[in-house]
Amino acid sequence: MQFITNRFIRSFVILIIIFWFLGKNAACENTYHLVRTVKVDYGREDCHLSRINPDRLHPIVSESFSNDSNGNFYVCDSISNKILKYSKNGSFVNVIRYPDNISPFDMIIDQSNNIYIYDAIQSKVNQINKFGALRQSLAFNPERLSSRGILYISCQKLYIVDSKQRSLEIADLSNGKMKESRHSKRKSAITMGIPAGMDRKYIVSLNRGKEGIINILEKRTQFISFICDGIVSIRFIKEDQHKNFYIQTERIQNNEVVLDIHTFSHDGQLLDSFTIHDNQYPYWTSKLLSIDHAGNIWQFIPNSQFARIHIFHKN
Amino acid sequence: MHYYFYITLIQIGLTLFASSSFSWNGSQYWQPTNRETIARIANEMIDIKWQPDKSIRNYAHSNKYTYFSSSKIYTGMAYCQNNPQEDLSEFIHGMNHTNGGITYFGNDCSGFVSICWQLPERYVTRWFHRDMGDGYFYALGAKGKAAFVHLMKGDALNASGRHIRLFDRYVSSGVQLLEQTPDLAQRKTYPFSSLISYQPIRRELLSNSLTVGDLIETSSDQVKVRENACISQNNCRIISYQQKNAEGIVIDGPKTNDTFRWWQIKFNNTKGWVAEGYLRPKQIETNYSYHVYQKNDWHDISYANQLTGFKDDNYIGPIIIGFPFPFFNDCYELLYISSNGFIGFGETNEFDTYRNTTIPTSLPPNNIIAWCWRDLLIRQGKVYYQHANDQFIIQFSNYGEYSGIGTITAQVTLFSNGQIRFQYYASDNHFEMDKASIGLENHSGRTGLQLDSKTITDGMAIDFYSQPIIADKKRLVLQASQQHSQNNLFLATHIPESGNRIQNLKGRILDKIFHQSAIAVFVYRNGWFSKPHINKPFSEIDSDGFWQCDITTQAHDEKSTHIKVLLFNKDYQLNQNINGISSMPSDILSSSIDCLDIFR
Repeated sequence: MQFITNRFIRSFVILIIIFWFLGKNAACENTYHLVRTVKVDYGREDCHLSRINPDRLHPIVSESFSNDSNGNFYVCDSISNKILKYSKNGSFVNVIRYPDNISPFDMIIDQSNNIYIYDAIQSKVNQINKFGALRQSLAFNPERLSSRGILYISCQKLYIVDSKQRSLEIADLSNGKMKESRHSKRKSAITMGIPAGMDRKYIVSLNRGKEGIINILEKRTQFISFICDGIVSIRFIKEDQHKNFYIQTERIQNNEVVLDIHTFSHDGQLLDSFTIHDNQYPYWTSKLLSIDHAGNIWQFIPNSQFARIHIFHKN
Repeated sequence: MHYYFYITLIQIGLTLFASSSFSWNGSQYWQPTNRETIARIANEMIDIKWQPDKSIRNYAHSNKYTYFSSSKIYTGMAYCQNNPQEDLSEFIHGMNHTNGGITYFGNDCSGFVSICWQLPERYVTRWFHRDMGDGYFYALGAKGKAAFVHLMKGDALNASGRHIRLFDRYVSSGVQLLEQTPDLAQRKTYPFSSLISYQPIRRELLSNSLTVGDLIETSSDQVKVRENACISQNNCRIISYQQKNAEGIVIDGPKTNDTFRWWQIKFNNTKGWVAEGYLRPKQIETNYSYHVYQKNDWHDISYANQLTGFKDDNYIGPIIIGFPFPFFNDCYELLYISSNGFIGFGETNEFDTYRNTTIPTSLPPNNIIAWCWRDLLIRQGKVYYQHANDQFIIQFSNYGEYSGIGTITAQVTLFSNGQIRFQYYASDNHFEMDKASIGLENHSGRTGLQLDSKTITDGMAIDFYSQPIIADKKRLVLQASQQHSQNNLFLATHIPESGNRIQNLKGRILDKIFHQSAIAVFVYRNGWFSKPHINKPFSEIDSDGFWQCDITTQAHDEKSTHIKVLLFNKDYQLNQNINGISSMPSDILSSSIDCLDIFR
């Protein structure tokens, strides 16, 4: 009898442990962990980044970066006209040298691994291949943008999105070629919202200090409001291959600015909120991080002594 | 070798001479300005389109030169760390008269801010830090506190020794800044995580700053309230911490000390000195009601001033209203007119949109008066405006629609008391009014009202009335201050301490009765005396109901222990000189509408 009881208790405890484990994993399905921090030195070698005036008036360091569809990570060195490529585990792969008459402001990579560099001085988007050769350039009228924007790609279309979250359709990227958008001269070329996915756009807004609001514009417009005490900024990052979408927020807590990434399912359910503790960016940068197609977070922080890349993977 | 060296030196010298012959060394006069002027100067430098008459290699910084082709048009002034700096007119002149080659045109980040702030000399980022609080600018918060303070257009963020930029506005992703940075001046957005090296600062002598009597709320949590207006001395201890959005009233200030500007604030539970950066004007919600009716009289103003510049999907402005126009929680003196059937205030985000939405919605445009918001096109129409007796009228005559041949003639009238009138005179050629959004929306897009456009026909008018907010304001003020009059019609916002001969007694009349009111102040020191003078027994009341009185115009006035403030009807005459009598005459007291006794 005692044997049976002990066996029963043993089984019960094991079952509880199994359920606890399963439950814990289910709850943590989308949480992240830091898998690697890559240190990138400044210098003259291929694998180094360049900088100007690190401790003097108007220091200049790299500030644009992006992921390709395979999860590789690219940092654009605007001083030495090169792009450093890292594999999806953070190892340095190679350097891509692009023509020196391009002044990069932002960079993005399409599914064919063509690289697009936004040159704000020339008001051009340049398409270069994976070897750095210039394939095409497309000029556009910057007057329609309220600020220097950031590049987005959605449904094989290239957009620049300004501070008002208006997207200017620049080009059609079908077949790996950059063709001027047939809408670009029309008034419909600039629209409210950040395109992501088929017939879907995102606009985020803020009830400062209280809540973030995500407006999903499609056939049926959705409004998602999430209460976030102390919230001071909100930004749509991207949709991943599973159509989950990612929202970056900053909030004030305990006299500090806290950086969070929120993962939402396609239908707007909040799946996860993850705090990135290292958010001290000593140099100015518009972009804080990039998210690859699998939903992993890549954070690039240039510092005065070296730059670092934090790679966070989903559990 | 020597030959080339000297030639190069001569070339550099000539270039510097050419560049310095047109140079900005500071504004001629240090004088008050406003936020709109600062932003306008900055935006002109950012939006300027230019083309050098010969291709140049323009000096940027640290032996780096930027190539600008004579065959291209550039947007934004060039970055250049050369000294002296150039403002916009000097830059344009330089670009139109260059000989090509190496040039030194443009300005750098601190030159850009010095020019926008119209400082009397060119500052560099280290000097902005060094001279903080010395007369031209002061700190809003410490380094890294950009997310905590309340920034306003034209404030600056300074990283000493590195960079400085101007704040333009809050955007959802952080802040939009105006800055001169390689290679061209630009407008760019930043998250707060990348502003940790920056200290928020504000120019002195800005109009529309805080004043005594203003209602405020705190901008972040843990706002320090200090015993005195300082940080570094022994008597500056922190007496309390206020949570975010704590309400209060400004009762004294400003004082500039320890690089900050300070205001004394009376909160519900305490009073003390708070740095200005952590205060923002209190927003009080306003609601509107409306009345739709048939209006047969039409006052045509097509003889008045015509507004031009309307194109497909644009807006024009700013246009001066002519009086402070209250709209929801703010007052505006400027407006913008969209070509697509609405009028807006403040930030012009999406004022050029042709897609009308429901009202209200947080999606921009916000802060709008939508008289017929849809995709319109002026075509052969005309737009006129007129200032008339506390009214500002805009008339849209035969204004067209984008996809159709219909036209509409209508007026929008803004009244100085906040009332708004839409009058729809006539429409032709099947103008599709039912496609329009009609209504009002506040700055956040969270408050507003929309009317059914299907019900609007020719000859109709809509009057919108703002609900009075005075009651709310009075409640808040009275919570914050105990120095109120018996009937709650006015209050004393600043009472000089006994012995102080410098400060004036200050106060505010809380209701709209101040237009018909007079304030008389008496002090008691071995008898009652009229203040400021026996021949001038009434105090000045300004257009907002604020009043103040010099109560120390005679010897020993500063020692008076009892101050009596009386509120009268404006036409009341004091029939007796109050000059040392032992008690206040009962007929004077009984003639007053309200009374406040202050004991010191």
